[in-house]
Amino acid sequence: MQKRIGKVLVCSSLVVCLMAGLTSFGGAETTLSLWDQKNSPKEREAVEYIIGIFEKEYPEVKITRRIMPNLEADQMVRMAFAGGTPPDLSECQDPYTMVKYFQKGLTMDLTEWYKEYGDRYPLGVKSAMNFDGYYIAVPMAELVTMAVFYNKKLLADLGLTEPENYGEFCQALEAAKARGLTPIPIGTKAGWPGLHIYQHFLRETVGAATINDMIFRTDPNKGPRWTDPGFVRAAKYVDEMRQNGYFSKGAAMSSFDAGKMEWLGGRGPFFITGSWVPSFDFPPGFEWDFFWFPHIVGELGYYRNDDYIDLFASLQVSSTTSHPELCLDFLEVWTRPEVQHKAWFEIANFIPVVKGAAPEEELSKFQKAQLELSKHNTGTYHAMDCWMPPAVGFGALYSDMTALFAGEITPIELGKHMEKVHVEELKKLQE
Amino acid sequence: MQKTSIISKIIIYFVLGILFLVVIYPLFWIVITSFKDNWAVFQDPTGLPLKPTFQNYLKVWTMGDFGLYFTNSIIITSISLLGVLFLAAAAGYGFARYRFRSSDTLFFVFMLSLVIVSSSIMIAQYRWISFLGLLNTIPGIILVYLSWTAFGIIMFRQAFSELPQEIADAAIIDGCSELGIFIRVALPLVRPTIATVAIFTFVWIWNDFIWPLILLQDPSKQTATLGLLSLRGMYLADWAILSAGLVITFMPVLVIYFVLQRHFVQGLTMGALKG
Amino acid sequence: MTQKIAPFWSGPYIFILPALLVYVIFMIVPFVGTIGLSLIKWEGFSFDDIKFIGLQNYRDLLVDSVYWLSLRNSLVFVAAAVAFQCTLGLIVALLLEQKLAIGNFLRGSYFIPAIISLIIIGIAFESLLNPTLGVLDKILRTVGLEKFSVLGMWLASKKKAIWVLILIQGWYGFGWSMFIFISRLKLIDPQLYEAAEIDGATAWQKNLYVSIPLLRGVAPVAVLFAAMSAMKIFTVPYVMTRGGPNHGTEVLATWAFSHGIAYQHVGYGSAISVTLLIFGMILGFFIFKAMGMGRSNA
Repeated sequence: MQKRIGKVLVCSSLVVCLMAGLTSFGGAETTLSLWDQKNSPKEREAVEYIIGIFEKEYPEVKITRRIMPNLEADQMVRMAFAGGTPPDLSECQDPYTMVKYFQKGLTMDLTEWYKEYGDRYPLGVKSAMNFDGYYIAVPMAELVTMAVFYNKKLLADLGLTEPENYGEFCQALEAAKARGLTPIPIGTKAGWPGLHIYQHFLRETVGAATINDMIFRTDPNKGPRWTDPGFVRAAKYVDEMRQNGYFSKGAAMSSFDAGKMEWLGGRGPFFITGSWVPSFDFPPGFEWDFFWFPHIVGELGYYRNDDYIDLFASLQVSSTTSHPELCLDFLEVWTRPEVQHKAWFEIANFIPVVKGAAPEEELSKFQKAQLELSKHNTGTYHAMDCWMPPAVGFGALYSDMTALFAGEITPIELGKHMEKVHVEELKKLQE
Repeated sequence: MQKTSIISKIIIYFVLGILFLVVIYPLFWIVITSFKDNWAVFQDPTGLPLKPTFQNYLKVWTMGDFGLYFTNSIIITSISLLGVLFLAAAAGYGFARYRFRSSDTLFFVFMLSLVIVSSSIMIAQYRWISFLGLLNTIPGIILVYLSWTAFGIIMFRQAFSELPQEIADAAIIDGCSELGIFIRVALPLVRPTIATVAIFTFVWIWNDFIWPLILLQDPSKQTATLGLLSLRGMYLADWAILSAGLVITFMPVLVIYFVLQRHFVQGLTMGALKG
Repeated sequence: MTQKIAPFWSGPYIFILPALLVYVIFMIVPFVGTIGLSLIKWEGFSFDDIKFIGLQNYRDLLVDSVYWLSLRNSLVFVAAAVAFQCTLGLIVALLLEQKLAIGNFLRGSYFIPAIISLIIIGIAFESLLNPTLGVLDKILRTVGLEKFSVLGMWLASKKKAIWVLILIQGWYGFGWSMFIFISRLKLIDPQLYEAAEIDGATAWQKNLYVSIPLLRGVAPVAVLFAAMSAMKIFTVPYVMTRGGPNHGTEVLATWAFSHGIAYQHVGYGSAISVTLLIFGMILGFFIFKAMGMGRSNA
């Protein structure tokens, strides 16, 4: 037994030495650490491509990339910052926290960089990265919009065409239901897929400006309230859809991906989500198209053209990096139109935000429509979940959405609960 | 008497059989799903794969960087395991062999860890480890695992205290020091307990994802179980690939289990040796 | 072995000190740190904004309805999971000890769930119970138990979701209880059974009057083990339901995690963790005493 213990001890010490040796192997070069969430195959490739370009131009620098799981990513980044060892470059899909990082001096002020390269972005995009006069991050890739995507074949089978308004949309849903299909396949266990639908209705009932007012509320005594008729009405619309059986059975317990599979598997015509749909792995023979969420004409007496356009992911630079210049250089490479074109447009199939990265001739129908939208809407609103304090956005809003889709909560209760949590959180933040 | 025997036997086999199916089916399902194309899974979730394929495993191994994660898991788990075995066996022996004023208190202090959830002490641990300069290091995470000795201490204390006094007496007559008794006499006699503690500690460390998530930030140092979480990223709902990842991550545990199973059963039925 | 009585520093320390040192440094220190964190208000960004607020977090806990719900869920979960796990383990242990042909194989198989990573279990059951994929539906239909397919929807119900998790916990943990009982059963003197047979006892009666009473000594161990593991439960609710729907499966550990990590309420989350630790200790102590568990050498 002793001999065995001895042998094992020797072996394990050798292994430890080997490991230590291996990990310090690349110590000679300069390394920049990049943490991102681009973990789907095409997105990964896109980032690898950009890293490749950078490393070719700056041969003495190596990028160590960490791909984080989406659900835990923001927490991991926050922990790293708090622990004093943040990555040089990190992706942030949580604009609320991104602003916080900057306010606490944890991320670098990029105003100088924007003076040189900021014009690569259209004005609207640039201003989204501006906080209090400073530029705090760089948009990573794409513009995000929300639409209703549909299965062309199924819609044709049902003898329908794209609905012009909400009334017609409901008729289409009824037709699908009558045929035994799931009108709107959806998996909203995580809360945010359902939130997207709720926001569509909010757009109709309160409009973009009010949504933004709610998001940027700071005074618990002022501002729109979740119990306002407009907000409750939007929740009611969602609830009605649920009661009519338009959503997947068990939507509240399915993941987004399960809902996606349902749609891709031909079990239902409409899929309401964001503009990442083109990057899906479609089954052979699947043809899709889209339309913007139909307006509710007549009943509410107005016809706005507000819409949702947001930037999801941005790159921020830690203020304690040992290589500030190199980080800025990396950002420069990242935002080159031809790089964005190859990486995000060609490889990942998104519509990159950088000017010139998506030439008019190469745009798909969807991408063209997105650009049109960004030019002609009357007001844009942000994603509620990412811009509000996390306890409100990621916490209460997500879980209330899931509850709404499960039929566990009424629209009024949702309004009351959201209001209570939001006010409490605002009070806490004021202290 | 005979008739009731047979009927009883049939009922017993039936119940146990159903239970066996319930226990095994989820695992079985994962395995067959891992050999299907994701669309085949959707079309026919419960059937056997019509066109079995290894592509999922390939994808997980390469795209998922699982080769690297696997190696890391093996290194971290094995070294931690050895450490825990040493520490726990020694401490268990100490508690079994001696009685001193604070022995009950100390034992209770160790038992505290049974109620401590890793996720509860995550933040404090993170700060503490980075304060110690051990953040993002393999030795750092190993040291954290070395604190998981409570279970081992319970088992070893139990096993050592059941050893006959004569053995210790004989060793003392032979001029053995206490340490000597421990290493040369006591340890070899509790091989089943070693196997038991080894299996459980291996399994718990291998399956842990909280400490690698928090304490290891280099992609090159990540572990297999953590890799599973990455695999389950927001827009990736490939049941087939996930299943392949699950199988790969579970394999080593299953192997260790089968290898050590014999000893481990003996370990839990230690008392039977007394006759 | 009879124990030698000796002061700590002349003898025992060689053996116990190493484990103790590592344990204190890497388990007790963070534990104490968590208690310290529960007394502050902090978003978790930089050390400069730490604000000491004493017991304010605990006062906030008292009025947090989700906290009380998560506490209730934890307790319900512990009680039900322990009852289910231990009963099933006991029954299986008794059945397996009837010296069946494939007894060893079955025993080995029943233990396999206990060694599977909880993440794997969460992901696996998430897929199996997914209504879109319909695996559960198909199985129930094949067996002719379609009426039970409503079970699959339980995860969408605030009140019923936790029962699905309890069943999964039972599936996962009954192997542990089974082993604890088997290890004790193997120690029972066969002569006792022979004596019972001579008195004309059937197999069932032998179990009832001989085995079960003798298992009473080891029952606390099984219960304690199952209870501690159920009290700490985090991974399966985290992976499968995220504490939903509407906090129906929110347990103390997940609620602490949400606040401490996701909502940037480090102090508050730590306070919840501390209460979890306290409840765990109370529960453990209670089981210890109530079931008359003696010291080692049981």
